This record gives sequence, C-alpha cells and structure tokens, in this order.
Amino acid sequence: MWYYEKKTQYPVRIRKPDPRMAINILTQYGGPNGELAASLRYLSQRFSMPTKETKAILNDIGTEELAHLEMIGSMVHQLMDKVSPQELEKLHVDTMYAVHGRAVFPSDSNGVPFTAAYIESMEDPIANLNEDLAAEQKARATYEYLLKMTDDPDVIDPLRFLREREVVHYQRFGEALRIVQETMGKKKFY
Amino acid sequence: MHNLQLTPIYPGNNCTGEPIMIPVMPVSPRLAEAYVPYQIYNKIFTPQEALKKGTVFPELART
Repeated sequence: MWYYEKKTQYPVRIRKPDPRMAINILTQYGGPNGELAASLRYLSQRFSMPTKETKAILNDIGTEELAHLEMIGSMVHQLMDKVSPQELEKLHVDTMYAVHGRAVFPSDSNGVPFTAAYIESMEDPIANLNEDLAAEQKARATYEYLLKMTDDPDVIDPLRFLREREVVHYQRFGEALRIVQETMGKKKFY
Repeated sequence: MHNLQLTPIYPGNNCTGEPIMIPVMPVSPRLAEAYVPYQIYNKIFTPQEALKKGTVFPELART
C-alpha cells in the first residue's frame, strides 16, 4: 500500500522550454533503462526475494523509482509546455507532436512505446539482483549522457540528483546480494 | 577488513527477524560471485546538504 505526497522527491522548476531536451529525457520515462521499467522490475521481483530485508530493499527502491518517474514526467512536461507546433517543427520534434501532441507518453526518445519486455522477474534472487545492479548502471550512464546534452542549471540539477540515486541504489542492491549470499550460503542452497 | 569493528551487525527485530552478521567484504570469497562492500554507518550530511547531493552518506556522494 502507498501514501501519496503532493510534491516531487526533488524540486523540478524549469523556466526555459527546450523541446529537444524534453524528447531526450523522455527515454528515462518509458525507455529500456527508464524509471517505469525500473519500478515495475523491482516491485515485481520483490515477491520472490528470500528474506525480509531483501524484500524491503526491492519494495523501497521500486517505490522510489515511481517518485523518479513523476520527476521525469514533470521535466518532460515543463520542457514541452506551451511550445508552438511551428517551433516544434523547426526543432525537428514535430513527429512526436503529430502522435501525442505535447503529452507525456511512456516511450523512449525515438517514440518506441514502453514494453514489459525491458524487464525480467525470475524466482532466482541471485539472477534478479544481478539484473538490478546492471539496471542501475545503465540508468546512471543514461543520466550522464543526458547531462552532457544540456547547460540549463534548472535541468542539470534534478538530473544530477537522479544520477546520484542510481549510485546509492547500486550499493543497496549490492548489499541485498550480500545478504542473499550470506544467508542462503549458510543453508547450503548454493 | 580484519578489524571486528568493520563488521556490521544486523541486530534483528520483530520486523527483520534473526540477526545477521555481514563483514564489509566476504571472509572467503568464491569465484563466479559478485561482491559489493557492505556499508558501515558513519558521519552523515545535514538534511539540506543531503537533498542537494542526493544522498545522506558522504561515502556514496559522487559529484
């Protein structure tokens, strides 16, 4: 069960529209290494974790990824808001406008719609946690690419925050893996 | 790593169950396994600083 807070995890206040950057950032909404994929992955894998601690780690991080999805959605929306179709055409992002208008739709930057094929959920916790560690690194790398594509501090600030969270999550999944190795090892399951 | 102080201990409670002791790095690491050092609780940032950095733990801040 969840409680909802009527604010984003980290402030998103972008003053200058930048539709090209909006489309670039969109991949972290519904792309292969995006926040929606991350959230669904952890919240689904949670059920087959062997200990209370590891269940809690996946549930907590999966929940936080939903908060990141909200932040990314806000960023895409603010970067696209009120930009005229003519302006979008000039910037070559008019194909997105033709399909969705200025809405936030879960796809990657090329318009490829979100699919659960981006994620896996297996009964084996070692397999799941190794996937999760890789997922955090892929998201971190994506945030680093995005940070190279803008010089707007209003955009850089939340992107840096999100990048740092990927680093912290990597550490937590690493600890979850250690817990599984130490506790399962004792029972000679592996 | 050889210091007992470097061994985090999960005290275990109603919520987390039995206590677990996990060394910072495994005592006898096995091939074909991935290991991440287990974090030890240390100094933390102020809440304002932590929000700015994206973490409350200085050891995890990559800026």
